[in-house]
Amino acid sequence: MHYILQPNNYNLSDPGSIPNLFIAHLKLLGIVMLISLIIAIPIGILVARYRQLYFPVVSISGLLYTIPSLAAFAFLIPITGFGSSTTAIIPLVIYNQLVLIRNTATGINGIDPLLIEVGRAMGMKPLQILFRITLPLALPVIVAGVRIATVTTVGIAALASFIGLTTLGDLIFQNLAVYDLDAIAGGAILIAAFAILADLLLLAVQIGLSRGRSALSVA
Amino acid sequence: MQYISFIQDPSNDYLGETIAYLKLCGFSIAAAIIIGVLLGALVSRNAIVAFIAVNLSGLIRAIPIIAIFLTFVPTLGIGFKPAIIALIILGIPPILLNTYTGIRGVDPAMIDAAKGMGMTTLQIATRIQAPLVTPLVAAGIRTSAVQIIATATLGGFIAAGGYGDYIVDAINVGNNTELIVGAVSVAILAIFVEVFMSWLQSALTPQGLKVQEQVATAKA
Amino acid sequence: MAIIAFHEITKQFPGTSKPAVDAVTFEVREGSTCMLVGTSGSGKTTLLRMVNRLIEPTSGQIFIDGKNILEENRILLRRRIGYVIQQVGLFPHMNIGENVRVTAEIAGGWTKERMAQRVDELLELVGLPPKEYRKRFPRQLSGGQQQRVGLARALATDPAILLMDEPFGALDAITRARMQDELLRIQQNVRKTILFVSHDIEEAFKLGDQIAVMHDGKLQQLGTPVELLANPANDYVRKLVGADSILRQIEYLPVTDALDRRPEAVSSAHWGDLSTCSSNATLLEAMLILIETNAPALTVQDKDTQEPLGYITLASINQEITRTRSHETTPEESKI
Repeated sequence: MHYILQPNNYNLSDPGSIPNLFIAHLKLLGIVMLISLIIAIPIGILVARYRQLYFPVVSISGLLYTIPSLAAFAFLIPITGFGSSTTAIIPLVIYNQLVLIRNTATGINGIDPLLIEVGRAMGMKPLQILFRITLPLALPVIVAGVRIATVTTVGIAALASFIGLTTLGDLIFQNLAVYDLDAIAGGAILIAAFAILADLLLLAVQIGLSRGRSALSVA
Repeated sequence: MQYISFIQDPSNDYLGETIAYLKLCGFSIAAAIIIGVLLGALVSRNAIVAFIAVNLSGLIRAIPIIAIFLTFVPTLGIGFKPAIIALIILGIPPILLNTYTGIRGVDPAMIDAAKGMGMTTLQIATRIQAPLVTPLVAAGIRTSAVQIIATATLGGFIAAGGYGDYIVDAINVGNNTELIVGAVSVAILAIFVEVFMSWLQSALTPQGLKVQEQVATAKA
Repeated sequence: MAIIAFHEITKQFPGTSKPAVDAVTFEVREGSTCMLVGTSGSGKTTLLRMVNRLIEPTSGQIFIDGKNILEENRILLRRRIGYVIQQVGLFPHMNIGENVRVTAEIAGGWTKERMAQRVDELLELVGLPPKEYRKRFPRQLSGGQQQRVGLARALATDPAILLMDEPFGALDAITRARMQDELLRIQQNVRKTILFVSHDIEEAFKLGDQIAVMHDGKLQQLGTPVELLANPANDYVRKLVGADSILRQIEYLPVTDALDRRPEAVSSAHWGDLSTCSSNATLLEAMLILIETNAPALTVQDKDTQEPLGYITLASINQEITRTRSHETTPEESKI
């Protein structure tokens, strides 16, 4: 606790201070989530439409998900290098695919086909159906997936500190050798708080997006 | 190839590290199953306790795993013991949650019908509840097992033994051969367990429930 | 305003031995309501869904105002046809106002102000005060209220054609009757060409200017309710419309069919104090007045000019019913 409460750990000019580590962690999270979503949502839409693709895609991303993060970092170090953010971003993006693809597809498949037909009967074009009916209705389920992915990413991103990136994980890994338990506990608490806060924030988003429907039905 | 010779080099004790890793994972999974199922069954009897347990399980996910490993070092020292406790703690939530969900999910009308048929409590438990809950528990065990195998690599930071020791050591000294051997070994083990457990899960699921079960896990 | 014309329209779904709709030809008059009735599997819904091309016909043509719709752009066609279905299908993520507005948004060419005004207009029309309902969500509404919104949505772009597929089928009897009355009232104002699928013959009689009876994919008969009742084309139609039922006959047959035009039908002593009834009354209404007033006869007046047309008596009603029923035993002669 001392570590978190000490004012000199908040010195902005020190690159290792808590605010700077937090910003670095947040940046890594942001980049990973952005890339993950850009890849996963179109794939999710695709496997929801062509259902024969669902099983192979989810199986492959499920297998990739089982690869331990430390092992994944290890595979990439010889290729992308120690301390390169690419080494951390690639596995993190891959891990997020399973839950994001699955939730996107589940969200879309859970939509009453009747509503799609009503849209067609109204004269909506395929893209209008996608953006006015399919995605808004699937969004709460997709955001539920984003929540899980975010919490996972915050945790694993801390581990990236061990392969030379700057994150809140520095508080743990840089103090491991000297076994400064105060700093390590401080790091753990900050990372957990970060994950919980992000989760709650996204929960609020999820409830906000569930307008007109019971938020519990998509939680 | 340098990887083969690394494995064959007796000073690296590949067989010993493999057994150590399997032991670490095997013990933790077994303990997590026993504790998880018991807690899940207990918790399902009381709504308030269940609420606390469910949210506590969610909270554990937020704590960085490495921190859980380090928590027990001051009392237990480094090595096998703190690692196994950390892994058990990590392995419990998925099993607990699925057991609880499974028990709560059994339609009361079904129990009612079984009672009306004249089934004893034991018969209801073995013939109705168990087959309906088993698939969900199996799904929880699968998640938990895969997670434990993946996480056990972090034992390397506290010298718990196994493939994690290779990876942590390799990154510290910059030995790419050792790094790849450790990574490939644990990746193969993780994928093997995932495939085996998914087969086991589907084998334990009654035919009539298969479609439903797919929907349930897809939403998890 | 629009005329819908089916010409030899046939739909055979892949993997079936019999066509769902088999060479159906008929016309729906401009501004009228045509009820498609028949049992489930008779092809009535398939026929309806070919009009907005949710189903494509295997052969034949459909014309709207003489234009072959199969040569039209499907999307643009749908935008000028209103569609109301039993399950309503309101979008759960949009509030009531947005649900009504979305049709106009999709169709394009509406300003924001005009759309807002139109939404209020329509909610008013279907009996949902806009101030109270605009911001509510579908799940906060009862089934009947949801269907009112469904109707408002279909009317949003003021389409000339309305397709309705058992819109009141899921409602309880009281709500259904009320919604039918509402539709009649709304139709008085908007005069759409309505094609309405129903399996409820009572509903068909109540709402339809014309009734098209479907069976096994084929059109059995097209006619006004009275025509169907008086001259059913075959046994199937007779059973379906209940042509054998005396109650149904007196309920729907018009008094003009049972007029006694002989002046001597009523003795001159009673001329001054006879009750009257309008020429558009049914036999049942006339009978009720006869029983209530205990008079030997009624004077039937033309509904517009109020000119006396003749008399109606219990005897003349009896005669007409007997005539219709004897007529029915030889339906072959009376095919339309």
